[in-house]
Amino acid sequence: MKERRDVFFAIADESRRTILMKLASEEEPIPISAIISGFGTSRSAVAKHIKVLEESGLVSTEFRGRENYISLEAAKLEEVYEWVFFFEQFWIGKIHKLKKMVEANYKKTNTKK
Amino acid sequence: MRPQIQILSFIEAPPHMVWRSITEAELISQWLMETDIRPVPGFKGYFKMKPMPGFDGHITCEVLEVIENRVFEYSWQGGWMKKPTTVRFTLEEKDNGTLLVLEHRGFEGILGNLLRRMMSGGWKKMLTQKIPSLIQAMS
Repeated sequence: MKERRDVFFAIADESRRTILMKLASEEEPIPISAIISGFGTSRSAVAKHIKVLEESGLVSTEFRGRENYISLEAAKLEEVYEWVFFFEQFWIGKIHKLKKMVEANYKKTNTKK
Repeated sequence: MRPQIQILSFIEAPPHMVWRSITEAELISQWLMETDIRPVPGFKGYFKMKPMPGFDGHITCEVLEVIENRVFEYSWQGGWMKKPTTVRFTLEEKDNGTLLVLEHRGFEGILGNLLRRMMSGGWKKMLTQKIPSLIQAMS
């Protein structure tokens, strides 16, 4: 068995979170091309992200016809407090940005005085 | 665990500066995203995220509570959020700065979607073991 990657590492990346959201909005496994079409990036970049997700157990892939089909392993995702985690990561990043912005603006108004 | 997010941040600036940054659309767009929100109770507006696969990026909001320099709360709904979620900012003056608390709750719709997926996937183990604890967490 492959060495498993940490789930938190897998979902720490925004592109990979986006892929998971896309998968969660579908009922059935979707072909890799459907994921790629929503991205402005190369096929190989998307394939790498999917490989990381697969190694962490968050998705599974199945070769059907000419394409790999990807499906979400929701049971695995449940380990990381479901979708709440996505928003948590989102807000942590945004609040950090807010803090930096307000503090920079405050310094500016102080030096003007 | 009730599904919600709480993030605390200490900002080295007075509350009124933080307040402007979380309530004025132009400032919000610099750290969060494009919006037309105004700190007026009942105001209905939008937020615009970068569109992503499976999500057009459009979020609707309604201002729920406004206490100048202290509390700003609005609903947030879009994409896979079948029911509105609630975003609440609380500011408190502390040590010549501001303690900011962000709370985002009401993820029942998202959990609901996950439950539906579990059922369509036929995870019997999930049905018998995980769902009761999820329902408990939601109630």
